[in-house]
Amino acid sequence: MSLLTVQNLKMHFPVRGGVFYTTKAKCKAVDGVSFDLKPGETLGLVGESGCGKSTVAKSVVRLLKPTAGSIQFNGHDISTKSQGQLRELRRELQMVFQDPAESLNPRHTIGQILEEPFIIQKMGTRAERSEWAAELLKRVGLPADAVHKYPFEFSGGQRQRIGIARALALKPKLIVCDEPVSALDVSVQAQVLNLLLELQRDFGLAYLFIAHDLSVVQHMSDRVAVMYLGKIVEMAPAAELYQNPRHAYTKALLDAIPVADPTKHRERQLLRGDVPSPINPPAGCAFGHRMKHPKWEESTKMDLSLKEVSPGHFVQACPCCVDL
Amino acid sequence: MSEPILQVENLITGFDTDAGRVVAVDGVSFSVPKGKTVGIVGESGCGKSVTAFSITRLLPQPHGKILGGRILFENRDLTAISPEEMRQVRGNDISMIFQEPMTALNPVQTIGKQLCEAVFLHEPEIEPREALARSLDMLNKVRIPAAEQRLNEYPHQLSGGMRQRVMIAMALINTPKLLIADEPTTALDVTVQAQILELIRDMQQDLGMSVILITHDLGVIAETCDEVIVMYAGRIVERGPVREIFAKPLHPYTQGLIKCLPKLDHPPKTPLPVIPGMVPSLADMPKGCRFAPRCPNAHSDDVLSQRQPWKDCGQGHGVEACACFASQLSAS
Repeated sequence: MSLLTVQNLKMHFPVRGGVFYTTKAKCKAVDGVSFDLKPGETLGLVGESGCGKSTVAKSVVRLLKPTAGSIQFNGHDISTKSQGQLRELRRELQMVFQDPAESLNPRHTIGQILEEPFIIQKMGTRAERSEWAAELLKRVGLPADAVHKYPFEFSGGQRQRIGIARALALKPKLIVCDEPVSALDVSVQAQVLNLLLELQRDFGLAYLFIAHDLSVVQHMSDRVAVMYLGKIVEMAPAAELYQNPRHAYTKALLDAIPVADPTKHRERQLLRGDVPSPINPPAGCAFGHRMKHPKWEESTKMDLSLKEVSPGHFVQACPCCVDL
Repeated sequence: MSEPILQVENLITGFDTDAGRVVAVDGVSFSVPKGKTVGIVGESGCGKSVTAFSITRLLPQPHGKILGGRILFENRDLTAISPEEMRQVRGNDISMIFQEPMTALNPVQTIGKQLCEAVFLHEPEIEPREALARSLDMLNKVRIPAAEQRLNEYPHQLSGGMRQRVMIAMALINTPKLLIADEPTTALDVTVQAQILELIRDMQQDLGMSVILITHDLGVIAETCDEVIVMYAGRIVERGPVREIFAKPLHPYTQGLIKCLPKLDHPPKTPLPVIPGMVPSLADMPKGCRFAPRCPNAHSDDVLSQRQPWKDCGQGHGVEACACFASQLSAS
């Protein structure tokens, strides 16, 4: 039984303009994304900026109301719930944001920040809540006297720990982590990644883990989905995806990672051009279009849904990007 | 080894703040050989950008000051020349590219105008048509598609990768001898990063210039640099040829930095080695080994209070030989 099932999720934003501020075009940020997530599992989501990975994250916690598609969480379809009904579901569904400096209220003490989830959910007495906040701080490795301090008194890594503590407060089943370590230095990044792994082991958390750093995603994830221009182009168990990528885009992404080993100099196939705009995206295979692949014409007439090529390994079977 | 184009000797740079003077770069010495790429790596606040801004004399005024040391560029001390002379050096001989191309480009001027401005500043007599031709040529060199059309466009019409290419074109238009790139790819996607790094490498070979590449990404260092300088809390803790540094890092900080990166061959979902704690505050820095409070090696309090000696280990590989591991150095 999966904890989260996303089916054919679409998130289109209207692009307005002109004299009457009418909708001129649609920005198809997410265009038909499906995946599922089991309890205690981590699904990594990678792709270049603008591919729609953060929009998926925001839709899953319903910070955005999807245009179409369903999001089943724990047996409830959250894509249609009202704000009141969502409040209850959000106990089990939390998010950690990229920039901890911007996602913590600068005028609240850490104690207030950590007690707020309990107040919103009307849980506990005042004494109980402050006890819980102290426990949370201990759990993420911060000193107990932090409750009286303000966010600016902490370093980036410590603020991210506070963000994680807040997400943990209501004992959720799923935490959506949107680029949780990309604002941090490498030595601190390793500390935060280790903390996330430890919490997952202790509480059986599931993560939807979004990052642009492919080695970080590989380290954290059980399965990885690669997004390109609003669609998942490949999804596979982490080891399988990194050892045996099938889609040309996945190969290009993996090839672009700089390797911290000067003895391994390699000639790489550089990807030309930039990610095209999701406003009026090309028909057919978007990556084939960017690469000006001779078979791109062919792909516009095909069904480009994901196909299972080996157990658990799905790929968008288009003639330009995959040798089947 | 070829002769150095730039020599930095015992550079000390500080900032005057309300709480007194803080020293951000404390006695940094290194040299950049002609035609080579030197990488400076370190975490935020280690002084790598301040070092770069000291070399180009672009420190925030009036708070930033070079307090000591010399910066010799082709045997001329850049700390001693007038601002007017420095302006001639900047752009002509030394150019810089910055991390965020959107903030470094003027949003209300076309790309063409900004490129031509760089030409005019250094060659006031040049024909406008000639300046424009040179700008177009440069945009083609940095592989901007439809370059002619781009000359009339504004920065917001370009993607991040394109903007960074424009920055590079602007920096190279007067064929400088030294390019300082301060985190040139940090704001970019990996695929675009690979393109930009390749571009810098190619331009370096074409123009025979030297490059100082500042980054926090060891992967970028490994792929592009000939030599590496590792900075921690305002000081150089280790430097050497790139292969040496990665094959046998000597300083515990360098070792920690290399180990704590998630690697594709590291078993997934297992704890990564970490450097515990965090960088000490600039206002409250130990006098001696600044890494000691986070160092995994056992050490005495002397290490904290006394500046540790620099030790040369041959082949250009040197390290701040803190007493906690210096004994192992002589043994090996």
